[in-house]
Amino acid sequence: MTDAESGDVLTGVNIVISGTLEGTTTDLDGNFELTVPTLNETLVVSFIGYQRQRVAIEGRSTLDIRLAPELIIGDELVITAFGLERETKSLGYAIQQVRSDRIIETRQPNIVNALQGQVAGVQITNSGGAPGASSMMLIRGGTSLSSDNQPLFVVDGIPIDNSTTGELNSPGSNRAIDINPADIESITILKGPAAAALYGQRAGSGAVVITTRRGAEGRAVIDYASTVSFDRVGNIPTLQSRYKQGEQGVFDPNATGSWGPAFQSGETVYDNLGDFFQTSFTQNHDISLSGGTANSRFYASASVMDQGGIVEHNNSFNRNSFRLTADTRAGSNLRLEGTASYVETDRRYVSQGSAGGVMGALFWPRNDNMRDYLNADGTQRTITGSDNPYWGTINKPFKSDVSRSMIVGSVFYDPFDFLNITYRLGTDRYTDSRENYQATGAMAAMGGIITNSEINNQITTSTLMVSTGRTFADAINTRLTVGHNVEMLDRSVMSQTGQNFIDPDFPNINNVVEQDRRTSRNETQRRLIGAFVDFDIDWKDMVFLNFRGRNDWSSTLPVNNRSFFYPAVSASVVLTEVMNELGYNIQGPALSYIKLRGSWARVGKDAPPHILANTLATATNTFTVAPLGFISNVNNFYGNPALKPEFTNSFEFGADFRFLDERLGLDFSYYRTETDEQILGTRTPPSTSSFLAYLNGGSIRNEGVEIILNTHPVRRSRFDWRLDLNFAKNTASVIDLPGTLDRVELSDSWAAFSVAQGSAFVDGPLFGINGRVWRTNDDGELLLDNRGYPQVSPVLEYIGNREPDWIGGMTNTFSYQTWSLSFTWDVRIGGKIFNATENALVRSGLSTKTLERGQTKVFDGIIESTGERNTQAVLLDQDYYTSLYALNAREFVEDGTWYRLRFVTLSYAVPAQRLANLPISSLQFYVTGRNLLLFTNYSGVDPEVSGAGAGVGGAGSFGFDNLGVPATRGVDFGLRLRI
Amino acid sequence: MKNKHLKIGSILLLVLFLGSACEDFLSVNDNPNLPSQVPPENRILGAIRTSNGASMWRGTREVSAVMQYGVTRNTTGAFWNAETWRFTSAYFFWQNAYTWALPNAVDLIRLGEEDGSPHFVGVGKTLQALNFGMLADQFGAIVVSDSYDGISQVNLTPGFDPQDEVYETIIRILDEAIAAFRQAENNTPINRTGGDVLYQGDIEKWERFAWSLKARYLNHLSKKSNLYDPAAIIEAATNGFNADGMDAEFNYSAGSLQTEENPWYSWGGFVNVDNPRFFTWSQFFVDLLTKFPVTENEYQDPRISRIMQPASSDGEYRGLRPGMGLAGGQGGSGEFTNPEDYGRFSNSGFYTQIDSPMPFITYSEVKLIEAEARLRSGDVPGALAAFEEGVRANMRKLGVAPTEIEDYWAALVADGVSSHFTNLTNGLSHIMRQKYIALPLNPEIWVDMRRMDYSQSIYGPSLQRPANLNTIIFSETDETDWIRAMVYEGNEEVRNPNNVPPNTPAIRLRSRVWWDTAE
Repeated sequence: MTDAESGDVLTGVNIVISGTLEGTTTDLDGNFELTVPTLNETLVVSFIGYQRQRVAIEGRSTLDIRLAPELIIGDELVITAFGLERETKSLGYAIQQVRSDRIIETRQPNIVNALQGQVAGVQITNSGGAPGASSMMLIRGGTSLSSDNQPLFVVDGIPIDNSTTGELNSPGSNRAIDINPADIESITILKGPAAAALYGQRAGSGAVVITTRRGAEGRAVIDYASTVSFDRVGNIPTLQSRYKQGEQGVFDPNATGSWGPAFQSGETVYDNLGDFFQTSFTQNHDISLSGGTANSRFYASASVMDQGGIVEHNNSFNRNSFRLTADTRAGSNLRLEGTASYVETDRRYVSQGSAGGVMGALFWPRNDNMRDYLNADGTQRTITGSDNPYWGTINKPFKSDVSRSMIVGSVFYDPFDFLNITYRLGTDRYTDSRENYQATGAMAAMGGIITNSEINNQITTSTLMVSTGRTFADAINTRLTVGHNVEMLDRSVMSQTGQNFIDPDFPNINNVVEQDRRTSRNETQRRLIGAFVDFDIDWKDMVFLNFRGRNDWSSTLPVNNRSFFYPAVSASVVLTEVMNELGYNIQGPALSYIKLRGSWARVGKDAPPHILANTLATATNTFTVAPLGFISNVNNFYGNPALKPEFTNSFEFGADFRFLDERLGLDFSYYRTETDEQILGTRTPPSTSSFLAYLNGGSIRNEGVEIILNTHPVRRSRFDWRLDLNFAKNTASVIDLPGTLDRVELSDSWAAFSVAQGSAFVDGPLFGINGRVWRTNDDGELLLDNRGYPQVSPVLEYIGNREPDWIGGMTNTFSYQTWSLSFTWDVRIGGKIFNATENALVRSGLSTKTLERGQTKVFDGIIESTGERNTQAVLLDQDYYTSLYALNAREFVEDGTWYRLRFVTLSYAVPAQRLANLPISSLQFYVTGRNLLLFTNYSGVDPEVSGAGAGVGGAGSFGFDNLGVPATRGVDFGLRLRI
Repeated sequence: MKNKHLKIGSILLLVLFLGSACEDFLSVNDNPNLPSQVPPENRILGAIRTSNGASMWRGTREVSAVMQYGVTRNTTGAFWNAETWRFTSAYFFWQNAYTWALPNAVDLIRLGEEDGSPHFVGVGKTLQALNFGMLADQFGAIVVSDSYDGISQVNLTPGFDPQDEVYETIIRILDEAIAAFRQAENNTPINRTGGDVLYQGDIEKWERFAWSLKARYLNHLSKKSNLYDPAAIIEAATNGFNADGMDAEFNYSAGSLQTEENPWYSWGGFVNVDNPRFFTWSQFFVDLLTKFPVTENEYQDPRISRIMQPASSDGEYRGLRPGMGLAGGQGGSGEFTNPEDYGRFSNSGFYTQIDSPMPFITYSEVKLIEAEARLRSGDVPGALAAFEEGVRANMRKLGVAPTEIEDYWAALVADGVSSHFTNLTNGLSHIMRQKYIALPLNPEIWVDMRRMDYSQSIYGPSLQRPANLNTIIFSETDETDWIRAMVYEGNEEVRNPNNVPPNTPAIRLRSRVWWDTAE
C-alpha cells in the first residue's frame, strides 16, 4: 500500500471486504493480509487523508494498491457514534474533523481552545488569561434556556465529564482540560441533533468525539516533544492619570477612590495595574512509545506540563498525564482493546470579579504604590477597603487538585462473517480536592476562613452493539446496527468550612474551634438506559439513506414519563457519480464532485436529577434568620412531579462541491433547530413561595448557515499551500416562555456590582444582556429628577445581544521543502460585550470616562414631577458617576468584533539524510506565536471573555468582561523528534 | 448450524437480561441529600423563626426608617433612600414573607391535619394570618387565594385578592386557629422536640396569641365606621394575653451562626462592621421618651435608659433628624455633629442587643389596643385602666424598677392623663405614643401612624416628614403628604405582570391601603 504521489509506504490503512465488516489494516511496511471468502470480492480501502478506493480483487491474490492523497478535506472516514466509522460522503448532515497536527500546532493546553477558529459554527470562548481558565464551547448556538448548552465530550467511545465547577468569583476549569492534546489522533465535531442522535440526549447540543492514538504494527517508535512558552498580559485597560485619591475633588489619604484633585506636575503616577503582571513561563514535555505486531498493538505516553501565570502568586496549572492503549487479536474473530489514562491536574488560582480580587488595581489610586502591600507590623496594607491584590493573591489562594482515570475496554467479536458484536465498558472517574482559604486579616473574613471540598465524579458507560451488513444485487448495500447503552453518573461533593484561625499563620481547618466548622454533603445520581437502531442503505455507494432511532429510559423523570423515543433520518446523494452512472457525465476538472445532503432529527432530553419533589433544608442566606430546623427549601427549585422530556427538532440540508481539479472545495449547510416544552429552570414570582421552579415550557429556535471553503491553490512537490476558510452565522432566539415571563435571568452571570447579567428574552435573543438602565417614559425620553439628573430604573431591561453576527476562521498552511508555516485568523463579527471592568473603573474614578468630572451637562429629557422638558444644567461630580452613570449599563455595552491572529506556527523538519547517522528518524523544530495580533474596537482587555467561566448554563457568561485575569499573548519554542 | 443458533440465542438472552431489571436500576431519583417531608414537630421551630427573622424582620428593616425610629449617618445610600421614602420595587419584604416564611406555616397546617394534630394546624394558621396581615398592611391587595397550599403545582401567575377580602380571610384563619387549639384530641404535642420557642407547648398561650392578633387586625379598621366593632375587639383582647410573660417572642442568641443573633445587632443591621444601617435613634423617638403627650411637658421616661444609650461625650440622649444624617445635627438643628454626641443604635439597649427578641405582639400592645377600643366606644375609665396596664406591663418587661414605674405613672396622672382621656384625640395621643414606645421597630407602628394620619396632634410637633424627602413623588410643600404603602417587589412585577396592581412608586407610595380610607 503506497501513496500514489510520493510512493511512500502507508501504515494503518483500513481494508474491508465490501458489504461486510471483515477487514484488516496495513503494517509498518504497508503490507496486509486478508482472508476472503472468494476472489471475486471487492475491497474498500480507506485511510485518513486519502481518497477512498474500491478495489475489485478479480481473482488476484496479491494487490498493489496506490492511494491518492485526498486533496481537500472532505472525503474521509469519520467516527459518527460509538466508534462507528463512516465515510463523510455517506453522511446526510454536517460533520467536521480536526486532525492531530492541527490540534498540536495551536499549543493550547486546553483541548477546547485548540479548536478555536477551526470548525465552522463552533463558538469557543476562553474565559481569561489565568492558567487553567475554563473555556466554553457552543455549537450552533444553544438549545436550552437554563441548562448546559455545551456539547457532549466523548473519548474513545465513552462520554466524559466536561463540567466546570466553581463560584462566580472563582470559576474552575472545564474538565476536558484533563485530556492531553498530544494523545489525540483526531477530533470529530458532530454539529447537530441528527449527527449526535445515537449518543442520545446529552448530545443534543452536538458532540466532540475524540479518538486517541493507537500503535501501529512494526518497529516500536519513541516520540518526544518539548515546548517552552512565554506569555505576557495581552492588553490592559487605559486608566486616567489626571486625578488622584480623594473625595469630591479634595485629597484624602483615607479615601478609597480617585476623586481627589489633579496630580501636580512632578508627582509620581504609579502604573499599579501594569506593574502587577509578569511574564509567565510554561514548559511541556510529551513522550510516547508505540508499536505492535500483526496481532497486537500498543501505545503508551507520558506528559508533563507546568504552566505559569502572569500573576506572580497562586496562578499555575500543572498536568501530568499517562496513557496506555493496547489491542490484540484473540483468534480469527475476536479482538480486544483497552485504553487507560491517568491524569493529575493541579491548579492554583485567585479570586476575580470584585474589588478584592485579582484586578483590585482597577480601584487603587495611582498616587499610591500598590506594591507596598504590608504594613510595618506585617499586616495587610490596603487603602481601598478591599484586599490589596498583592496581598490577596498570596493570602487568598484557590487550589484544585484533580486525579482522574479514564478506562475503556472493548471487545470486538465476529461470530459470523455477516455479524459483528462490539461491547464497550468504560468509566471516567475523578476526584477534585479543593481548598480555598483567606488568611487572617482578609477584608471579608478578618479571622481567616478555609474551605475544603472534595468532588467525586464518575460516569460509567456500557454499550453493546450488534451489526450486520448485506449487499443485494451488487448495488444495494445495507448495514444494520442495534445497540444497548447504559450510562450512570454518580457525583458527590463534601465540603467543610472553618473560620477564625486560632493561630493566624496556620491555614488548616483543624486550626479553628469546633463551633466554627461546618460541613455539608451533596450527592447526585443519574441512570440512563438506551436502546438504539442505526440502519444504512446505499445504492452503489452514491445514494445513501440512514435511519436512526433511540429510546431512552431515564431515572430523572417521573416513572410514567421516563421512557421516550426519538428518530432521525438523513440522506446523501453524490450527484456527480449518480449522473455518471446514468450516463450524463458532468464530472470534469472544473467540477469534480457534487454531493447533496439533508436530514431531519428529533432528540429527547430528560430532567436534571432529583428535582421532582420539593425539599426541606436547614439553611437560609446571610440576610435571613437561621431557622435552626427544617424549612421549605426555597434555595432549590420547586419540585415538579409532572415533568415530561423535552424534545429538540432539527432539520438541515447542505451541499458539497469540488472544483478545479479538487483544488477548491465548498461545503454549505443550512439548519434550523427548535426546542419546545423545555425543561426549564426558571425564576418565579415570589408569591408562588419559591424563587425557582422547573417547568415544561418555552421554545428556542436556532437558525443558521455554515460555509466551509477548502482550497489547495499551490500543489507542487516542493511548495504547497492550503487555505481553509470557515464561516458561520447562527441566530438563537426565544420564541416562547411559560406563563407571562418575558425573560429568563441567569443570576450565575451577574457582573460585578450587579449592573448586568445574562438573560434570554422572549421574542428576543437567547444570549441577551439584562441591565440596569435610566428611567424613560414610553417615548424613550429620560425621566429626570427635579434637579435634572437621570434616575435609575428599578427594573432591568434588555440592553444587548452577545451572540455574534457571524464567526469565521481562516487557516493558511504553507510548506516549502521541509519548512512549514501555518496560521489561523479567528474572526468574530458583532456580539456585544458588557464591560464590567470599565464599570468598576468608573466607580473607582480611574476610568477615562470620568474625565468630564466637574463639567456640567443639560440632560435631554423630561422632569418627571412637572412633565416639562429639562433646561437645568447639572454637575457631573463624583456622586453622578458612582450612583447614576455607573448604574446605566447601556454605557458599558460595547461591540465585541475581533480579528485575531489566533496562532502562527513555523516549523522546520531536519531532512532525513542529515539524520542518517543519528538514532533519530525525524526531528522537527517549531516556533509558535499565540494571540499575537488582535484588531478590535473593544476598549477592554480582550472581547474574548467569559465573566463567570464556562460553568454557567443556559445563555452562559461569555461576553461579560468582569475583572478577570486578562488574556495573554505568548510564544512557544519546541522540538519534536522520533526515535 | 447448531452452533449458529446457540450463538444467536445467547445474544438474545443477553439483550433480554440487560433490558430487564430496569425499574430498580432507575429508581435513584429521590433526593439523597434533603428530605421532602419531616414530621410537624421538626418544622415548627423553622416556621416560627422565619416568620419572625425573615418575614417580620424584612417587613420592618426599611419601615423602621419610615417609622422614624433610626437614622442613618450619611445622606446617600440605600438606607438613606428608605429614610427619605425613595422606595422602588427593590423592596424585598414581599419575597421574605412569601418564600421564607409562609410555606412553613402552610406545611405545618397540612402536616398537622395529616398527623391528627390540630395544635400544629393552629400554630400554622396563626403564623399564616400574621404574615398575611403584615403583607396586606404594607401593600393592600396581596396573593392569598392562589398562594402556596402545599399540594398544588407551582402557579406562575397567582392572582391578587383585594385587601378587604384578605382581612376577612385573616379573621377566618384566626378563628380556625382558635378552634384548632381548643380541640382536645391531639396526636403529637407541638413541643415534642422543643420546637415551640414561643410557649414551650402551652396551647392556652397559643390560643391567646391568636386572639391577640384578632384584636390587632379588627382594630385596624378604625377608619371603617361600618366595620369597626369595639365590642369584638374588646372580646378578642380579653381572650388575648392577660398577664406578663405571654408575649409572642423568643430570644435571639449568640450561636455559631451570625444569623442566630438579633438582626439589628449584627447581620441585618450592618453592611459591614463600620457601616451600620442606623447610626443612632431619631430625635423624634428621644422626644417621645422625654416629653408627655398633649402637654409636651418634659419628663424623662425611665425606659429611655433601657432602650437607648446616652452620648459618650456628655451623657445626654440625642437623636438625628431623618434625611439629614449626622451632618444635620440633633433633630436637624445643625448642633452636635460629632459622632460622640450620640449613643449608637445597635447594641444600645433592650431591642438591639445580640439576644434581643423581636416580639410579634405583646401583652402591652393588647392592653393598648383594648384601651383604644374602649376609648372609641366611650368607656373612658375602662380605656384608662387598660392603658395603665399596657404602660406598666411594658415598663415591667423592660425591667424598670417598681418605684420608677410608680413615679412615672404619678407624673403622668399629675400631667392630666385622666382628663386627656375624655377627649378622643388626646386619649389616642397617649395611647399611640405609648404604643410607639412599647413596640419599638415593630411594623405595627406604621399601621398606627397611618391610621392616625401621621397627625402631630397625636404624635406631637416633633413628628415631621424627613428632610430631603423624595420630592419626585411627594409634595415639597404639603406637610400632610406622607408615605402610605409600599411598592410591590420588582420580581413579582416582572414575572407576574398581569396580576400585580399598578406599581410605579408614584402611585404605590401615595396610595392608601383599604383600611386607611374611610368606608
